[in-house]
Amino acid sequence: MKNVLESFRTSIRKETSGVSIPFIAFGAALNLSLGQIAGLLKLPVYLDSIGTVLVAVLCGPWAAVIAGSVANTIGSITFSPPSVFFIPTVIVIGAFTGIVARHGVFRKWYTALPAGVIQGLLAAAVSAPISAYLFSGITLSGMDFLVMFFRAEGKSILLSTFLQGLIADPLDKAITYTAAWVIVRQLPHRIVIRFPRYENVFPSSD
Amino acid sequence: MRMSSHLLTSKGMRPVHPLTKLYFTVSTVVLCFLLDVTAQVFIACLLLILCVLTRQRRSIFKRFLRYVLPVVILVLLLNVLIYPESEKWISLFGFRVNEVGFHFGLIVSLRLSVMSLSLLLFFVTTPPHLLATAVLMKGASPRIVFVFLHSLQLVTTLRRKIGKIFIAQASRGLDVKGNPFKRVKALFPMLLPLVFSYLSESLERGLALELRGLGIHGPKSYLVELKESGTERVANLLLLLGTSTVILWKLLQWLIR
Amino acid sequence: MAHPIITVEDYSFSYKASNKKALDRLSFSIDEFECCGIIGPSEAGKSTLCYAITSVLPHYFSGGKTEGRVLTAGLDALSTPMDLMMKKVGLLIQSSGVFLSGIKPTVREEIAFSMENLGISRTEIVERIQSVMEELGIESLAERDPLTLSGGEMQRVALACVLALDPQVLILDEPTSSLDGEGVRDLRLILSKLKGKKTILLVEQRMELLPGLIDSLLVLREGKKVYSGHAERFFSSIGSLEEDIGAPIWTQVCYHIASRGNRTAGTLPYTYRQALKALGTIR
Repeated sequence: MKNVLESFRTSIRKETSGVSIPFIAFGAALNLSLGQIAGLLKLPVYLDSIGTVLVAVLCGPWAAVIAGSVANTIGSITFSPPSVFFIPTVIVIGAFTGIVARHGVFRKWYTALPAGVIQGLLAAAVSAPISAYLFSGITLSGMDFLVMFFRAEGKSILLSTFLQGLIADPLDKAITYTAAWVIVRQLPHRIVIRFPRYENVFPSSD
Repeated sequence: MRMSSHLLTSKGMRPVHPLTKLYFTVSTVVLCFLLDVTAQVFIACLLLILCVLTRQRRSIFKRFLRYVLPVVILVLLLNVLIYPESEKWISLFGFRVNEVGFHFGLIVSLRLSVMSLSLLLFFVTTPPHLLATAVLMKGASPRIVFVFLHSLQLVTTLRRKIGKIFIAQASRGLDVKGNPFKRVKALFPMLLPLVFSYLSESLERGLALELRGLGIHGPKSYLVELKESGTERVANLLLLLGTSTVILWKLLQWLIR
Repeated sequence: MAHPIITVEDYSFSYKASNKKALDRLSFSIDEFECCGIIGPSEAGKSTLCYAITSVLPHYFSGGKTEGRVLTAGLDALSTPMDLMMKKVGLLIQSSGVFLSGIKPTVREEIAFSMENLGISRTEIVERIQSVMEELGIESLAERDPLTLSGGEMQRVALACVLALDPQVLILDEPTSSLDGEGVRDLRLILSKLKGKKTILLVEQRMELLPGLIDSLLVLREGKKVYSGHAERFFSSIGSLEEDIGAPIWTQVCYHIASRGNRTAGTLPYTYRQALKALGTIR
């Protein structure tokens, strides 16, 4: 137990030192700003976790959890107060992304894309109870009509919210993961090597 | 933008300690989940009075109307019009609404409103740098506090940069109006410059933070000292005890059931 | 009698995953209260040297290969923790906008940031802020938001942040890169006041700043030492221009005028006054 705690502390320290700190802040800010790009391009996706994903790939899962949590907290401050309740979802996104990144998922698009789909399913599963209990599934995301449709079909609030998430989240996260793959493969080696989890991008570097 | 956190009291204006406000917010949010409708209405009235008394009332109500009220209305509408769990319908102001759905919708809307109002009251009236100092004094990690404050500042900068990049790319002929696939492709020329520039900046900024001693372990000192008054300390204790008692009581009720 | 405050002995450094040496068997020393200019083309290792002296290399650039020794103010720069080294040597990086934390609402609190991290007592923090603001003439900026400052104002505030820790050694890495003419003049004035009170290392590309300010010069190229000694001796010789290291603009002008006329310029002018005198004799 002591060893587990020590290794946990070492991981967090490694992921939140030096160059990671400003990049974690950037990841959080990017999550909050990407909605703007999605709006400008009229994309049917949120893209509100791409910062978290990039931080997970370059810095690690704990750093990603911090980025996502900070983004949601700031979201509560700047626009929607209940954003803070979706922190469990960002914890899952950050942790899952950091873990799969360690297995080289972001080195090829054909591993990144399906991983994004799985991430979406997980995110839907975690968000659904929160959204269902707090908002009856309504989040003003543009996909609320799906919740109404499933409710009209006789499904429970929880199931309707989950089904809405199953349709929207895998697509959103697949695009997010693919976008992250496109970005990281173009990053200069001399910069990436300075990040704690550079081996997620350049495995043979040393 | 500097916000003040003053409340009118019989002794005149004085700032409330950020942590007292935080404990109050957490307590009201937790209690609105655990207590019945009457208690929630009471909490809502208390929050409304506090919101009216504060100088930032306009900002609070503006945000509530813009971000929370649409959700509240939709939640109510969804439940009164579509509630498959019950077939009891009543007439309300000439409209046919589901009776159980109506009550359920009211409960969810009330809870959502109370919790949103409480969070808005806290965030709008508490300057982030003061909240940061308060949590730092209680032992929070300086690095995480830095991430929070820096992100807040970056959001504004990034939004401005995104606007400029969009205009620049569109003027270079980037197709931003085509089919969804083309529009997804258009994402990258906008995203890549943003990430690259900040990636390089991260290296320099991380170095600067190291030079400014952010990574040093050990006791910190504070230029701006936030002292809790006796009243605030008592209030914090009461809030903690009160909320814990309610949590334990509800837990016991659930276990006995 | 002056004694060395910085000693670099046979020091080499390579960054992580790089085969190229950023610094290659560098050896030199700088005396206390000396003002030394550090120049060289890009990728010469100037910034890396600054990081080595301030103990940043082992902490922030971990994974690199190190050989040799660096002693700064009696401390081994390769093993001393940052909290000890910060009190001895202050480094102001090139971009003052990035150097400022950006999280403090006022200049006063920004200057306090490093001292807060070091746990310096509040009374002392208040005293030092007042003293350093007076020294740099920035009292009027005390309650301003650091993010709204001009380039020159940011530079002064960044310098205040470093000086507030009262280091024995002050290192400035290309401090004039984002300054206009007036900003450069103001910085020169500040450095002139600090000269003799602190040991100053000035990494610069604007050679015009150096004459009359620096006592000695260190020239680097590709991580190696090209020259270490009197600044005037280096710039006065034609070799400095032919080495493509650079020189003050008036030195370059005199060199080119003399070369066109197929004359030997003799000793090239180092200061502006010398150049005016030389131009009076070269027709």
